[in-house]
Amino acid sequence: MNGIVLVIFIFLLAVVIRVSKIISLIQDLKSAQLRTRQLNFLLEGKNKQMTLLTNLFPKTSTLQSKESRINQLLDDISQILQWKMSAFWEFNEKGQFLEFKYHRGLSKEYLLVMEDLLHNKIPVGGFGSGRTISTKQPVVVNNWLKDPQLKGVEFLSQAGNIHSFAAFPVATNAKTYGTLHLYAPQINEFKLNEVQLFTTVANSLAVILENDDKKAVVD
Amino acid sequence: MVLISTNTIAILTVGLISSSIIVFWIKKLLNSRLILINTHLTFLSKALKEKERQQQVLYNISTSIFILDNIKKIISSVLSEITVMYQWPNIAYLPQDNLKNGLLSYGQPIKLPSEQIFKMARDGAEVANITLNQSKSQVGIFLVGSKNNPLGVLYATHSQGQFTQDQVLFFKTVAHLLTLAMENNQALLG
Repeated sequence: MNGIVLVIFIFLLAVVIRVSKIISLIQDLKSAQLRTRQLNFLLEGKNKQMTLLTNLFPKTSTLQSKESRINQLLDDISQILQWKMSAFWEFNEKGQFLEFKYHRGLSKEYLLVMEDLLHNKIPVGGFGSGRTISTKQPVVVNNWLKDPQLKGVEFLSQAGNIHSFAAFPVATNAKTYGTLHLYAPQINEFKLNEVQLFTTVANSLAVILENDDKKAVVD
Repeated sequence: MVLISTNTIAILTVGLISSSIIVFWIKKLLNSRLILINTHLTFLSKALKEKERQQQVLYNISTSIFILDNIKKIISSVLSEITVMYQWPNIAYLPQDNLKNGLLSYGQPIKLPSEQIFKMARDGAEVANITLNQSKSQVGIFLVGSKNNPLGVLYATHSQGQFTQDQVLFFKTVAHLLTLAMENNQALLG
């Protein structure tokens, strides 16, 4: 009797050990599959970023208007990157202000506030875009409501459901064209990857616009 | 009692052996699947790291070459970024006016004749297989400028295999950035 019990016990122990090894293998497999999905997602994102950049470069020597290039870029940011909210503020050199001229995906409330309260303009040095122009450096705000430099304008964040944004100067040594703005409803959307990508885009756009200006003069 | 216990032991023994065999095959199947996925993961990780390096290089180039006022400095900066940050040592730039003035190319020595390289660039060839001194390699030829106004060629050699689509796209993007910077510089100089 004791012998039978012992044999049954050893048998069950052997089964449990083998099954636990299989369970462990299945868990490893699931983690590996999850990691594969994550990496595929990241790679897909990188491919989209490269597509955005290559779409920016002029395909032919035909002159394109500044409006057309900026609108095309904002459309590409929306369609290729699936980044919903963006804008381009154009720099007015005479008046030394930035004009809220081109935008995609922003809410009606935000647009109304921009028009009614700010008249679609901000001075150089003011808010995010203004600081970008005066410093010629990107401005990144990963939590609008906690940024000390944006105290008093929380209503804009609420109107647009915007909790992080970044502004990138579109400027060459000789000329300032404006700022490229990206907005996001979540906080902490702008990490190194996004800052590098949009800096590259903004710098390239500035040179493309300057080259267009020079070709227009020659023609 | 003795018979029952003998039968029981026999059944248990058979059960143990059968379950061991089944478990062995299940483990083997799962292990081979795990090896496949891990191999794919390694490939994806490498691809992602390369993409990140490419993005870093493009960022570095776009923040440096557009403020330089000298074409030689622009080209040196780009070749340096590709060699150091992208870890691609076999890169060179062949200026268009090399054909007239006999200037040396920048970067690694170019083994094909200049005229052949420019013809391939104008014909739109991006990647070509070449055999030199019985050794085969693949070269990437990326036009800087346009067909109507060629400024030069970015020339990359792949010593260990073939260019991937991503690598071709990367070098094309670098060529575009070079085109922008050099056209801008030419316009500045008048």
